[in-house]
Parts: sequence; C-alpha cells; structure tokens
Amino acid sequence: MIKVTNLKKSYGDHQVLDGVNFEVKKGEIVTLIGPSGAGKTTLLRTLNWLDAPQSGLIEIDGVKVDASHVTKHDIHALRSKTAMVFQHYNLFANKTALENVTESLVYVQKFDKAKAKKKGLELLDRVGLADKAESYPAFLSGGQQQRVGIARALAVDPQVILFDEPTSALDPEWVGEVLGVMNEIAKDGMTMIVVSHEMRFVRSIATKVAFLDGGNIIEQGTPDEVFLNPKNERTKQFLKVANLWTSADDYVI
Amino acid sequence: MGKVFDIEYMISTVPEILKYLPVTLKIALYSGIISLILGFAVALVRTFKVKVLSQICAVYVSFIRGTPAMVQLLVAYYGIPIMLKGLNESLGTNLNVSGIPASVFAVVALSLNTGAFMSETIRSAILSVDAGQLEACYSVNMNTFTALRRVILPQAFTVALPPLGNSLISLLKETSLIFNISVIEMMAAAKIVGTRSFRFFEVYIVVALIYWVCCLALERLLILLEKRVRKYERSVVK
Ligand SMILES: Nc1ncnc2c1ncn2[C@@H]1O[C@H](COP(=O)(O)OP(=O)(O)OP(=O)(O)O)[C@@H](O)[C@H]1O
Ligand SMILES: [Mg+2]
Repeated sequence: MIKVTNLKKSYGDHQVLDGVNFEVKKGEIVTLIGPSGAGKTTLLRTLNWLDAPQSGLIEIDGVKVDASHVTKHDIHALRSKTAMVFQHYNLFANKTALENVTESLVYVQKFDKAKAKKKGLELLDRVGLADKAESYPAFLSGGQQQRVGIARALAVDPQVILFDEPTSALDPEWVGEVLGVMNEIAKDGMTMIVVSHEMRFVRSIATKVAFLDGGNIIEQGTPDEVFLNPKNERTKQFLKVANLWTSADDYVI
Repeated sequence: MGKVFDIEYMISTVPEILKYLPVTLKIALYSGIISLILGFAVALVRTFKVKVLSQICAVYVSFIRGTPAMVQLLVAYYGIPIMLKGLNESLGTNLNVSGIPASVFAVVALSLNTGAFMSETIRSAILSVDAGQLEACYSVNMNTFTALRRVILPQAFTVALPPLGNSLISLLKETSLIFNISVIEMMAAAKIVGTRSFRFFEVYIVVALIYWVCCLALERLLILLEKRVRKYERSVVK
C-alpha cells in the first residue's frame, strides 16, 4: 500500500536520504531503527510532506507523488492519507483536547460542528481521555498529551500513522499508557510506521523492523530476524552499541 | 498676589476641559483601530517576506522608529495637502484639500506612528510561536491560511497583547501632541482656558489627572482581556 522509490533528501551538501526504497503492506506495523542522525525523522516527515525531498516517488493508497515536480494538490492528497504523531506532541496549545481532535474535522474535512464533536469525543474515548475533553494541553500530563496526539492523528482518518519516537519524551511512568493505546490501534488494523527504540513496543506489536543507516534502509525483516539474526555488519554493530541485541534466551522474557 | 495654587479655580476648569475629552478619545480610538490593522498587515507582509512590499514596509518601520512623533505629525499636516494637490494636478481630479479637517491628519500621523511599532510587536509574536505548531497544522492537512487563523495567530495574539497594550497607552498619551496642528482637543482646551487666567499650572494638572484616569481605565481593560486570552496557559503560582 505504501511504496517509496529512490527517495532522496539532502540539506545543503549533506545527503540524509540517499535513494531510499521500501514498501509497507496494509496493516503492517513497521519499526524504523537506526543511529542518531540516520534520517529516521526525515524519512517519516517526507511521507507527511513536512519535509520536501528533492527526488523520488512516494505512493500511498493510490496517491502518487513525484518529488521532483510536486503540486499543492499532491501535497494535500498525500497529507490526507498520512498523519503524524510527534515526539514532543505538538498539540495546538490554544485548543482544548477535544478541539485538537476536531480542528481537522471541521476545518479540513468540513464536518458540521455537532458531528465533529461527536466523532471527536469518540476518538478521545478510544484513547481513554473522554473526561479530559475540555482540558487545555498545558493541563495534561505528557502521556495524556501524547494520547490526544494519537486521537488527533486518527481524526485525519489516515491510511498510515507515522510515529516519531512517541514515548521518548515521556517520563517512564507514562510510557505504558501510550504503548497501550498504540497497541489497541494496531489491533484495529491501522498501518503504522514507528521510529522507536522501545523494545516493549517492538516485541509486542511490530510486524517488521527496518534498519536505516547511511541514507538507506540496509536491513529489514521480522523483529526476530533483525534482532536475533542480523545479517548486516552495521546492523550488528548498531544493535550492540544501542544495547538492543538481545541473545535468544533473554529475548523471550 | 493671589494664591500660589488655586484649587477652587482648578476644579472650576474641569468641566470646560472635560468637554474636549471625547475629541481626544475619538482620535485615540480611530488611530488605535487603524494602527492595529496596519501593524497586523505590515507584520504579515514582513513575516512572509512578500516581495517588494516587505522592503517598503521595512523602510517605513525604520523611518517611523528613527524620527520623533512630533516631526511626523507636522510632516503629515503639511505634507499630505501638498501630495494631494500634486495628485489633483497630475490626475486632473478636484479633491477639496483645504476642506480636510486637521483631526484627519492627526489620525493619519498617529496611526502610521503606532502601526509601525505594533507591526514589530506582532511580527516577533508570530515568530515566537513554536514551529511545531505550524507543522502539526500541516500534518492534519490544514492549509496555511487556516493554520494562521486557528492556531498561530491566536497564540501570537496572546504573546503580543501586553506590548500592544503599552502601544495603545502611549498612543492615548501622544494625542496630547496634536494641538500643534490646530486640533482642538483637551490639551488645546486647557491652553485656551489657561491663557484666560494665566494659571497654566492648575489647568495642566487637570489635564494630567484626566489622562491618568483614562490610562488607568485602559490598563484595567487590557488586564481583563489578557486574563481571557491566557486561559489556555497554566498560571504560575506567585
Ligand atoms: N532542517 C534541517 N536542516 C539541516 N540539517 C538537518 C535538518 N533536519 C535534519 N537535519 C540533519 O539531517 C540528518 C538526519 O536527521 P534526522 O532528524 O532525520 O535523524 P534521526 O535519524 O531522526 O536522528 P535521531 O535519532 O537523533 O532523532 C541529521 O544529520 C540532521 O542534522
Ligand atoms: Mg529523530
């Protein structure tokens, strides 16, 4: 359903994405791993067109965008298929939890206000925050804010949700509730691409792991394949350094 | 010799001076509204670096910041009629230049002055809104206009409100300059009254007190407004 072909992105003469190719099938939960500065965030952001790649093709659910000549219409089409959950939540600070969710329903998808409110409350309920509908982000905990962020992404009714280290800014006590919500959404069949080094998440719900390094995805496979039997030397190195290479026995735990 | 300070006389002049308060307030109000609109427009032009316009705006702001308000007032008073006459001649129109009341020049000059300062305030307020807010708007497929209207500008407004309030208070006080271009407002009225009795000190005290009360009222109003727009921020316990 998602097909990225030869995607290139550079900042000045720093080539961050150097012809990335990858595919994601509907319902897959892909975890993107890789060293700091590898371009994981950049890759996610290009899929939501928050960063413009210089060249390459992005195809999501029938929307084809050629990065070398992109139109406003392409960008809107692509963004209607994708939604982003940010590391630092980025909730609209001047809007309540409910408004954060309904804003795109009313002002992008042109729902009438009553219908938007109903759907917004349903989505907040889905992330367990119906009782916080009227709270402003500043009055919510990090975990609650990130769950609102997930509800806001769901409101776009996207084909894929992109998560950029959704739990790394959270105090440990809030990580569980966010992972729980992500788990629920995954079970409902949502396609997800997640940048995360959170092993709890990778082990419990990821269906695929992709390792990004040097501007390319150099290894991918099931979590078992990548974490237990990495083939590429650089993958092995990274897993060791990042303390993610678990030997077969403690992997089960 | 009479008294050094004649309180009774002072009080007796209040009604006559107060009669011109509405003129002062009206000019302040019109200038306030125009300068807010102007400041906002200039801020947008400069934030989005609109070609040509943004250079013109930069020169305008620099000129206003670098020249005294009093000089600007006189330049407007003498300059606008000359400009209009020139326009009449070159276009063959027949605008009645001498029919324009001096208060119009006052509003133009005060608006241009305050608008320039407000544009800087609003511009830096827009820039102070976290870039992540705009990205979040785009991520849910909002267009730039909607993002500005619903998310960015309301947050910028909260940031800008206190300095904008200061500009409005300065504006109110600067109306005391416009008697110089023969607008009869409070200051001019006080001068006239004072000339009659040569008790200038008393009448200027009256003017000062009236301005003070007006500024206090405006300040209260701004504080109430600020409380309203800050409702989404967590307040710090003092
Ligand atoms: N706006 C930008 N301008 C210039 N360089 C940038 C910009 N954004 C990212 N980069 C550079 O691109 C490279 C990839 O950044 P990116 O944020 O995608 O890495 P990452 O894999 O997400 O890293 P991390 O694990 O630290 O989040 C980095 O070297 C970074 O410095
Ligand atoms: Mg990153």
